[in-house]
This record gives sequence, structure tokens and C-alpha cells, in this order.
Amino acid sequence: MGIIRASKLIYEYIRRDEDEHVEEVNRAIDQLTVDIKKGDFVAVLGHNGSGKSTFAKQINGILLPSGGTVWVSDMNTSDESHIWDIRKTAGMVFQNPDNQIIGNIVEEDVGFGPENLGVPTDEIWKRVDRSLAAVGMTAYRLKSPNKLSGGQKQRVAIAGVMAMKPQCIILDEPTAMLDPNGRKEVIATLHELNKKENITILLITHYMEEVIDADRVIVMDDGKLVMDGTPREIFSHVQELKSYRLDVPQVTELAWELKKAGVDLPDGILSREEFMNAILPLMKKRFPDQVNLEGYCPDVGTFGTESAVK
Amino acid sequence: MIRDITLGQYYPVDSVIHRMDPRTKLFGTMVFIISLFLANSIVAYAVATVFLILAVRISKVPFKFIVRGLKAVVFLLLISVSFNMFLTPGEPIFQIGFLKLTWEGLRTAGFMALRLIYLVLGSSIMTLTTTPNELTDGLERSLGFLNKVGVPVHEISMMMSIALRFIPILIEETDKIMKAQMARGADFETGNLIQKAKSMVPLLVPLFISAFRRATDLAMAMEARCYHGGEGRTKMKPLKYEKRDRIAYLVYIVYLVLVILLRK
Repeated sequence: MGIIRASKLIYEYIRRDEDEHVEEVNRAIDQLTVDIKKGDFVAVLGHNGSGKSTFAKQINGILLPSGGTVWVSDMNTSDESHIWDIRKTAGMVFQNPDNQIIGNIVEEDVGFGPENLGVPTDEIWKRVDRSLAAVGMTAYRLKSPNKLSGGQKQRVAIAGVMAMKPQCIILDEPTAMLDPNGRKEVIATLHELNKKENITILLITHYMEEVIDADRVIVMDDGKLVMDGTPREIFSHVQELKSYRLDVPQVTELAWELKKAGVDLPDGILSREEFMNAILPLMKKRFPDQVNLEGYCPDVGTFGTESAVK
Repeated sequence: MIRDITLGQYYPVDSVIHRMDPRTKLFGTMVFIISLFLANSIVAYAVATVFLILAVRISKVPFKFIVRGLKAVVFLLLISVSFNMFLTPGEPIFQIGFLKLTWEGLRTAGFMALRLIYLVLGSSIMTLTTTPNELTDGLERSLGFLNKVGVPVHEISMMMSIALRFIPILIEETDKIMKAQMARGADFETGNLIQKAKSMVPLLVPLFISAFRRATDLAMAMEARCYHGGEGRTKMKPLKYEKRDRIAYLVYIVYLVLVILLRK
């Protein structure tokens, strides 16, 4: 029994004409059944329109199911009396950092959630201090959010959710509008929260690089759950991923292409280090004279200063 | 140019004025504005000037930063000054056609200009030293009695604080859209007034659409963070009067009495 469970979840966007007649029904989520364990770092992958964002909004009751049920820590999201408890348990971070920061000062924004929950003043300050420290933004607490970079704003948004003491945080493409540095910043923060505070993370994304370190990857396509497993399992099926219009990390793709061409590499290579460790012995075997492995450090997958190939 | 509006931009330094209760600052701004309309002699304006300069000094906000807020009202200032200068009846200095420059006009125009400038400067000090959240908190508390007659005070103050937060964002967005349209050959500068107004349409439409989209997003984000109106809400920074606030009130009273006494 996980913290987030969905059973046969259906959600339909219904478009009506002026006379309230149904004009078009667009099924965004179709019979989705999923169970997310407490403390996991779960990544949800999917192409545009795969229903992954809709699924995220289901979890904290911003959207309610058209059919089926969603439970968050055993509370049914359709049950209106639990709605604030559900939102407190499952905090949400959205894509656009500007459109979710309410406060004009970083610390006031972080305090917004606890204020709404009716937390006493002293406790709000403690929570704000802790949350800002957890995302590494204490130094910016008196700054205006407008003066921060995208990655910093997103970290403030995460702190704002943290201050509500959630058991799980859902992030709906939090890095889509960030530059590569901001992206790294945010993902590193999430991993830290996951490990140190044992917060369940549900990261919705379409950047493959962010998925590699997750505990579990769920792939959605056309409203359905189509793949579910560890990153290695998922990325072993390059062909299948491509059929869902998803890319794989560059190095995984390279390994896959090489393997197709007849090089004896393992399936599901995820990082550059892994790739180097797998390919270098093969190169050495094939071209013993040209390849020199002296100074190679397998832990980081690089050489000291000398080059391997003369 | 539009980036220069300082209204609603908090200037984060630590000063006595920054630490004051927002209600005190609101009341002070009100007193200052009233005093500007009461004052009608040069001495009274001198007192107001001293009061303003002292406030700026104590607030530790650089004077340059405060003055920048004036750029937004230059146009209004010019219009009102020239109207006052030429259309006030009295002893003429010289005359061109029906335009008459009079001593009285010059005097009223001068006071008018001072009034407007001080008004903007005075309220800038408040907005520069008070975070918009504090400001709306102050308004909410001071106007709380209106709740009893059915005015949604909390909701209004929340809307104000959000509006203030989004001013710089929307300004930046306007800038961006403007540049994008200019890159595709749009012309915002030349032509007569009607043509200029027309050329604003391709600027306003995308701006409005994006503002509405932001509003939807923000509403969702607020709901996701359990916002459900003012009921049962606690405050991170509850308002409390301190010694400095009492002193400030005292200063206000002395100041106001002084201005009234120095009236002609």
C-alpha cells in the first residue's frame, strides 16, 4: 500500500458548446492504475499530451477523476472533506517559477503555505528557516523573487511546499523553463530532499537526463501507463521508448547504436562512466597497439591528463 | 522607460522605517498627503520638505532610487503645470494669443508641481520600505472594521499584494513582446496619436492573454498551497505596535500641527 495509489483512473476534458451540449471529449487519462511507494523517487516520462501533467493535478485534487479513484495516504481525493489534508500531504510544484510565487520576499512566500494551514507564528518561522536551509536558499531569504534566477526561483517554490511538511512532492516539469545549470540545481535539491528528509518525489519531466537517478520510472503514452521499472530496465528498451516519441540519454543511444552495429555492449547504459568502462576494454582488445589505458580512472570514467588513443 | 516605475518595488535595507509597523507608515503617508493639500505657504512647504528629506535619510533608500519614480509622472506634471501657469486669471506678465502667463498662475503651478512631486516621493518611501505583503497586511488590519458591513477586506488586500508582485513581471513581459514585435517590423514610435494607439493593439493582445494565463496558473498554485480565503489563516509576521511606532505617531501629530499653523 503506497502513499499514492490510483486505480482505473480516468479523466476526460469535456468541451461544451454554448448550449452545454458535449462537443468533444478528450480522454487525457485512460484506466491508469499505479501504486507509488513511500520514500521513492519516481519519474514520470511522457511525450506532450501523454496525460502526465493531468495525472499530477489529480494527485492533489486540483482535478478530480471522471472515473476510478486516487488515494493519497489512504484519503480519497474525491472526498471533499479531506481536500486540504490531501494538499498538505502532497505538495505540488509547477512548471513556471514566476506564476507560483505569491510572496514579494522569498521568506514571505515560503511562509504562505503554513499561514494558510493556520500554523502558529513561531512554528511558521521555524518551518521557513528549515525549508530554506533544506533547499540551500537561506542567503536569499530577504531578496525579491524577481531578482533570482530560474533555478533559484524553483528552489524557493520547493521550499514553499516543504514548509507545509508534505510527505510527498509532485513536480510538474519543474525544469522545463530553466537553463542547464538551473536544471541541475533543482534536480540535485530534489535528490537531497528525497534522501535526507525521506520525502517521496514524483518528478514529471521529459528530460531523460533527469530520470537516470530515479528509483523508478513510469512511462505514459496517450493517457495509459505503458512502461514501469528502474531506469536501467526502461532504457534497455530503446526501440520501445522511441515508439512513444521519447528520446533516450545521448550516451544510451550511442551504446544502443553501437550494439546494433555489432559491438558487444550491455543493455541500458545510463552514464558516460558506464559507457567508458564498457567500451575501453573492447577497444583495447581490438586495437592493443593504439589504446593505452594508463591513467584511466574507472570511477569517474576519465583519464588523468593523457589521452587514451594515440 | 517603463522599467523605471519604482512603485511597489521594495528596497531591502535595514532601517527604522523598514522595521516600523505598516499601519504606522500608511497613516504617515496619509498625514503627509493631507498636509500637502493643507499647506499653502512657502514656510509650510519648507516644513514638508524637511519632513520628506528626514524620512528619506532615515529610510536609507538612495535618493536617486526614489527620484526614479518621478519619471512616470513627468507628463502629468508638465500638463498640470502648464495649465495652471497659463489659465489662472490674474495680473499678466506677458500674453501670446489667448495664453496669459500670470503671477498667480506661476505661483499655483509651482505649488502644484511641488505637491505632485512630494506626493509621489512620499508614497514611494512607503512602498520602498514596506514589502507589499506588509502593506496589504496593514491595510487589512486598519480597514478590518469594513468586514462587518460586507466588504471582503482580506480578498481585496490579497488581490492588491498579488497585483504588486506581478507589476515587474508584466513590465518585463511588455518589454519582451515589444521587442519581439519590433523585430518583425512593428513601429511603436512614429505616427500621430491614433496611429500610435493602434500600434499598441499587437502589444496589448498578447499581454492580456499571457496575464490571464498567469492568473490561472497562480490560482492553481495558491490552491495547491491550501489557500482558502482569510478564515483560519495565521500570520507569519503579525502586526504589533512598538516604541518606534508610538514615536512616529507623535512626530506625525507635531508635523501636521506645524503645517496647519504655518498656513496663510
